[in-house]
Amino acid sequence: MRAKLALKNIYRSWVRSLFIFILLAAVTCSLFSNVMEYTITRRETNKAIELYDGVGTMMKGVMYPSVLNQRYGEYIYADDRVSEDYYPEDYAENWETRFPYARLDNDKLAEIEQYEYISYVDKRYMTAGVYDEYQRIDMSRDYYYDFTNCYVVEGTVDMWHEGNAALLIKDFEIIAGGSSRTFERYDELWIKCEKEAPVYLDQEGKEFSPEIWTDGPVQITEKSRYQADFCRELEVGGRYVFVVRFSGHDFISMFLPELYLTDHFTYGWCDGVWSLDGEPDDYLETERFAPLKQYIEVIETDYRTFDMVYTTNMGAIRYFADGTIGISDGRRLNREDYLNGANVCVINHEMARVYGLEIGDTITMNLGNKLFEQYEGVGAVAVVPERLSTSYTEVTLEIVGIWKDTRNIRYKATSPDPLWSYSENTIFVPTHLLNVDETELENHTFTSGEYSFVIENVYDVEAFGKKYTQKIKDMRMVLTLDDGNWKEIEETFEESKTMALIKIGILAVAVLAATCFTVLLYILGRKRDFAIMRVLGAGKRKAQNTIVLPLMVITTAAVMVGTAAAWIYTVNNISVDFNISQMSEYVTDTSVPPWLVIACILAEIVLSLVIAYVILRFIGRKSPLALLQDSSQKKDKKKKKQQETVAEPEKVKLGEWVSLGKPNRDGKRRRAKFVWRYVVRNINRTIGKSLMYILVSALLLNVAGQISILQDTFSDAFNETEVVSKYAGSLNLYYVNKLQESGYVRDVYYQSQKWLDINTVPVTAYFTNDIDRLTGKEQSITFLDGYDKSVMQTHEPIIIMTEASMDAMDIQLGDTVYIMAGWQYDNRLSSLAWGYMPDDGSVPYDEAKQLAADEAMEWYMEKSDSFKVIGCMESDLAGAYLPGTMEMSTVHGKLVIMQLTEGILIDNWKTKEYREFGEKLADANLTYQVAFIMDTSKVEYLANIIKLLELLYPVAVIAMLVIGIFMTSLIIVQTSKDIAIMRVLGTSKRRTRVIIILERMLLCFVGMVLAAIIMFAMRGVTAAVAQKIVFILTAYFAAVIAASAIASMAATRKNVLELLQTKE
Amino acid sequence: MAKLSVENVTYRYKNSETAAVKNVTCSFDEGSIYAIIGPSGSGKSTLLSMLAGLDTPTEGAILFEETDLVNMDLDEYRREDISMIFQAFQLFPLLTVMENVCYPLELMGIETEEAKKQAVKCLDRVGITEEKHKRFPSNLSGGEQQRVAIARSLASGAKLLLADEPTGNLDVANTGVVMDILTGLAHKDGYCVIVVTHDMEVAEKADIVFRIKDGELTKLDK
Repeated sequence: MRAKLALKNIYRSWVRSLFIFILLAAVTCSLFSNVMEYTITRRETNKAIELYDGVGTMMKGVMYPSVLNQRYGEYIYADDRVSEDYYPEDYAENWETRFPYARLDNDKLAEIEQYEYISYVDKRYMTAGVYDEYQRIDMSRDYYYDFTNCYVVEGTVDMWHEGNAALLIKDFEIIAGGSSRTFERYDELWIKCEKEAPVYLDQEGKEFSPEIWTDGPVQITEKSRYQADFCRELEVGGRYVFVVRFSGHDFISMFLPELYLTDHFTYGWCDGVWSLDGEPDDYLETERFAPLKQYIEVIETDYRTFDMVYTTNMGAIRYFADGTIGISDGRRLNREDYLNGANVCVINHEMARVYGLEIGDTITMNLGNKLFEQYEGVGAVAVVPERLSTSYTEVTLEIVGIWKDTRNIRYKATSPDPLWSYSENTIFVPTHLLNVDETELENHTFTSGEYSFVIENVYDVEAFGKKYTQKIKDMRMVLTLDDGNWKEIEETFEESKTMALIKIGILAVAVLAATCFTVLLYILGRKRDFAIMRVLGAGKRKAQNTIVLPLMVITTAAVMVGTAAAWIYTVNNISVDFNISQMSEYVTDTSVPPWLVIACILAEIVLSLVIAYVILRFIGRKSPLALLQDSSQKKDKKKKKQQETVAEPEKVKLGEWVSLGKPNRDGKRRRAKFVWRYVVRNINRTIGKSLMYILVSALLLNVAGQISILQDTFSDAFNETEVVSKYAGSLNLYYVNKLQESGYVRDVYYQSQKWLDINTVPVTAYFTNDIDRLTGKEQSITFLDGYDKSVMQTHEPIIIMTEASMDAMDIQLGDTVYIMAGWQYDNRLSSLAWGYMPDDGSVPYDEAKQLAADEAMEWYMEKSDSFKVIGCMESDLAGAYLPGTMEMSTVHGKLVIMQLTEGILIDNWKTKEYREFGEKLADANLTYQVAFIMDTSKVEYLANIIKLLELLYPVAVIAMLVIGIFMTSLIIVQTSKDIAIMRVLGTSKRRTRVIIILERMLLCFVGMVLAAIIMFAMRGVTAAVAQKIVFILTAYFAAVIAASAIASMAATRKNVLELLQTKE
Repeated sequence: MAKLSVENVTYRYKNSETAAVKNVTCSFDEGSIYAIIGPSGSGKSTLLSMLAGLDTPTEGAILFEETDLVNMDLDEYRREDISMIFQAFQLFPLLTVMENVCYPLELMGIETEEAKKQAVKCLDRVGITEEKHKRFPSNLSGGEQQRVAIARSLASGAKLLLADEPTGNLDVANTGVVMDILTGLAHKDGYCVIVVTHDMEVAEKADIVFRIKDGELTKLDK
């Protein structure tokens, strides 16, 4: 038979061809998807583990909660000039060991560098990087970082406002400074003077004033010259030059910008107020104004200054290593950049957004020669002349990466962290670009955020920790080792590897069995063709090839389709198993190696080919005539011999002719027993075929079942993934309530700190619905009868006060307190006192205040809100906690805003709707800018997989049912002759069908049990798995029974004699 | 009383106007061996099919011991009242010789042990020795397989034996043996044996020979 003719058999017997195709494609897909998954997982895990470095950091002291919960970012005060003065005496005593921003000892660091396992040390430096075309981008955004928001303003004093402690300036001109916020459109400005020291309650409830305090961005000390007394003396109508700073957060008037007079950085070298009385027009050129001129130069440079951080490897920075700070685009700087001297940089995503920068763009920077401390909020701005670089080196840097912090900048401001000091202005560059005098470098002492070491072999991290933790502790430093959690990943991989190998082993056996079954089925069907070809003189080899050719065509097509399906499935699903995908910067390569695809295809084809030739070789041993006479009979040599010994006809000895008559029947019908015996015997006698049927059934069920279980697993993972949404910034309490009522989120949490007047006394108050979370520990609170912690989830007018505050203010549980925005009473009193002060100065200010006290109190009682004290919290510190009420959404013009609001999405399928809602909510919050942050990447990823599985699942189930039905029907059709014999011997149609159906049911059941065992072994014995596979098993079982019933009905309806009269 | 009577039987296949069997009337008695001969497509198998209760006549009636087959349970009829042998023997390939012979007995609800005793007798009767009882049909020669098939037909005790080309696959010697058995069954045991055959030598051993041509049955003078 010619090849062309042989190939025609493919479509001439299309049903058989289709069956073989589907079966082979299914088993190929099943096995190869697992092989590919295993190969990729192994490759990627090994690759990922190689990427992991152990990163060690040291801190001088630990961060106490009291430090973390301070109102202002204390690291601002880490400046040596002020820090020791700022802290209480007992704190300052242990300054070096307790303050987390304290510098590390260089000698000790040098010793640590010598420790075993350490691959290299990354010492990070910071200098200014000045670029004429760009301005710093954080100006005016957050007052912890707006140190560059400095101005030099020339103007005429119009009036002094005692109540606001501010000067009204008219006819003004901005001499220096000029950020995105400009005041040129205004006709007048308010300049606030430095406030007098506030009054606090100490631990014993006594009033005290700190030696140093802040007012907006301005830090004030007792040495300050620019308090009310000074400003009051300025001549109304006089012309002055003011050194001022702008805060976008506080307004005297909604229509006028508020400026603060000078700040602590100018103390000692540049005055805050300069009188122009009698000065020439070019007064800046005079010797007297030299410091001001210098200050103007500093300001102008600072506006265009970025914080250049030099590193040998960004991976050595702990937060980059653990993924807290990530790369949103491109890559991070690596060791090769440093060693190869590459002029590259990584910029912040906000900078990229503002200036439209992308990966591959270049920026030109003038790198300064002065070092700055990275932990300071000031960044690399000069502020004072001695910090201004004396020389700059121009470099052109290619942007290779864009970094993004997962945390909110406000969080950074309120929870200072010595290891986290980077802002939108931070640009990372390789250390080889550092152009600082050697002496300065040698003398530089490092802080925790500037120093870390790398253990490249992550397997050594544990050993290092065991060996050196105590030694470093003895040096009075705290060692923190971070290995990126690689060990857990490796353990997970090892477990999954074992499971995957077992799975592959089982599937390989199933595939081998299915392939044997398929090929055997095909060749037995073509046995007669083979015999005819042989009889007609075709050589054995040629006849074999003619039979094998179409089989190989079908096999190749099926294997390629199966492999492609496995490929697509694997590529789309594989990464879910990788915890390593969470690793910063790690991009999972889910590509399947081409060699593996080719190997899979070839392996399956070769397997089919080998099986085909083995069977054909076996068949070829028989004579073609024997095959034609009885192609279904197997006769080995032994049997042949037995046949040869069959008695010759003439030797046949017939028995006596004795009438047999009807057999004795005891009258009992044993139909069930008969049927059972026949079925069991038949299964036993066709054990190979039966096993094949069982295995194929198990395989089919397993494929569909695995997808089904995967679907559930992913659905569970999807539903269990917590999507936390944050409103960073200043969300109004009113909108917090809207969020709580929206039904989109659960476990809403909010927190905010605000000064409140409680019974006229300013107290630090915390708006929150979870005190424990806010304070970081479970607090002991004594509640008034009928109240408990759950009251914080309401918006009732209740308040919990600390024991210290209650004692100091003589407040008892159940009392009512009167609340107003902080310092309002004080301001009102001052304002009213002004009215009691005649122009002749006969009534001093303090006396005037006493005179105004009653009026102020009357106003206070009228305007304040009453709250019930329902809890007393054990604490030596003054403070109060309240959930806030809607009525106090604005407290006398000042909004109750939340620094942080969080909620967990209830229904992860509603991310889009909720995002729209959240963004609208944030936009609706008009007064302050609120950033709605919600990372849905994890659930989106899972959702995509679920959608894919939803598509695959019905396909797999249908394929399973079709193959199952087809296979069952085919087997029954093949037994038509037996059915005919049974029928002719008087077996009723019904009983014949019962026999056929029962046999298939039994085999199917065993296959189901096997499939269930495999699935349980792979996925664990859980109710969820059981529940999921029940449907698959039931559907398959029903399909098999239906197919058996239909096929047996068809078989029993055939013309019995027609079937029996033919030899085959 | 005739064992089996065919009265004016006509058979037409569905969607065919031509009758495969035309108005056939004949009767078959116990103690005789009948041969029905005819060329391919003459209607032999159709007639045999009707005689075996596997098909029902379009017209006319087939009576078994005076009872119209239409009024009988045909499964029971085939199980207990008739038996058949074929050219290709039609033994269950997966059952041993003994199991094949026991099959109709077990089907009738007879205890296995009892069935075996009966089967041994039947096998002995057709000359199948005990050593071959546990063999599968594929391990027997054609003649032996046919004798096993005859033993199976004897097992039920039915006295009407329908044979469809029983010697078609056998050589001359085995044909002789099989025909001896069938003749013996008819003449010594009183069986009614109806043989459909092409083989004139086989037909010659029959007591009565019918020829069927184009569906019409004619009794031949021997």
